[in-house]
Amino acid sequence: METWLSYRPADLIMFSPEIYVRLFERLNLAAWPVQLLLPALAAGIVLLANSRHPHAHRLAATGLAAAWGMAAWWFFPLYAEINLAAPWLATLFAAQSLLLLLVAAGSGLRLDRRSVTWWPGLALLLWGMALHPLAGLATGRGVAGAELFALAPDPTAIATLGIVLMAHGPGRWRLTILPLAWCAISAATWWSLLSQGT
Amino acid sequence: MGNTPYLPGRRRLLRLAGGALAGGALPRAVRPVDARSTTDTITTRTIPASGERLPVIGMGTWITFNVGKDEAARDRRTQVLRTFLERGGRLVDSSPMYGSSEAVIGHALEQLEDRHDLFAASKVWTPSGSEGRSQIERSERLWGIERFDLMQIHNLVAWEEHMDTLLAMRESGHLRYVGITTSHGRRHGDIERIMREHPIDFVQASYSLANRAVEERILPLARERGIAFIANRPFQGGRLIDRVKRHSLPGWAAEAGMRNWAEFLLKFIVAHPAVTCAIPATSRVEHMQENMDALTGRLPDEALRRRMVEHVRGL
Repeated sequence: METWLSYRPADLIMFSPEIYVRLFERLNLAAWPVQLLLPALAAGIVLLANSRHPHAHRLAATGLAAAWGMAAWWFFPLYAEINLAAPWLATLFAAQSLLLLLVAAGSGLRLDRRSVTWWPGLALLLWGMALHPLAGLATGRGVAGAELFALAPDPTAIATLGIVLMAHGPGRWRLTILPLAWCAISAATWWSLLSQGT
Repeated sequence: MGNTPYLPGRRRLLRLAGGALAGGALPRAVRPVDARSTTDTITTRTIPASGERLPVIGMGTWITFNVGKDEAARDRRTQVLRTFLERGGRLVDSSPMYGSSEAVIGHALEQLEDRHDLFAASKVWTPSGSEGRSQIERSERLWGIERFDLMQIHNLVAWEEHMDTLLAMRESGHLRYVGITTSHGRRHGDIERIMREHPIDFVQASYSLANRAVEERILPLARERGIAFIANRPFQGGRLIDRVKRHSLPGWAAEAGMRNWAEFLLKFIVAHPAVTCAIPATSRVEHMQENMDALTGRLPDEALRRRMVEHVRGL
């Protein structure tokens, strides 16, 4: 354990930034034409959660569970080619998908404008569903490697945090644990990749 | 074994010498690749256990060859390996811990018309001693080779169990050499103890112009015990070469025959008399060309090495 603790996160990253970015291009190629359905899925989750009908809230949670399941299904097999820890990380996404299905079996996800975290939640939701895919363009990565909600893990986790912050109910915080864990892992990965030498 | 230097048996020496000659391990002129290298003779070092000679620049594959099934990236790594072998390199080092690197090496070797004198080095990396042999066999399949020249115990993971397996495989002729590895300056005390007490042929540790900890005890011990030394992380994972490349190469280095910073940093390492081979890793052909420049031309003497240290310290 002492030996492991002496490693920096950057020492444990076993792939280069180039190959990690290429992973999203390969993901989009492998998943095509699923991308055409993603805007409808994203909009549907938000509209259903914003509805007044309990059935719609359950469908919203089911839709979000599907988004996590899709990311686990499409992204992590590719990631496992270059990261020995990917199968373990995929279980985070599968577990969040199951958790959301449990919520769907209960009262579902209902947005609540009176929530004190409504505005931060809305900002995260917009970031995850709309701006994050475009962020890559600003860094010169190109549209082919855009990270899309429900396929790529980062926008899926970010948008989920947004929805949960906008939602009603005291138990909603349980749904933030795994997305926050993934965001921390992803941030550490990017930080380590960017600190790699050439 | 105590403190008695390990001397390989006569039968083993004969077998190793046979393998060395069959592998064309004696110094030779570099194959024509570019005008610069056509007449140069590559620098080699002797593996003490056998007398076989090895070019002083090898190739590491940590990060750089872990590209998964990305066909475009695999093609580029094939070009990197081709350049390495055509410029006279032999030792390619990998590990099951490096993700898809071993599979990518195997793919690249399959594409090459000529494997030249490849010296295949990998590692055993599993906490279970009973899984060591099957992991090695899997690595052989991934590389597409019948046997490894060198098998090392990665970062001393379960080293006591693996040592017995590797020594038995060497004795049976399935491996030519056995080694141990560490990196980032870790567990040097254990490394020293194993070097003293076990009949290993190679030791691998981090050594660069900015990390010279092995000069204190490991390198002198390697010489004393007749153990070949492989220097990993010669550019400190790229950070060292990125730092020095912000500056121009000093005139005195150019006068000493060094053409670029990679050659500067690598020649510092391989000029140490106890170093057998340095294993820089790269994913780019142009960087491989620069690395292989260190394989030819004269090496710095001790006074010049001291100057190199002072210069880089001041950058």
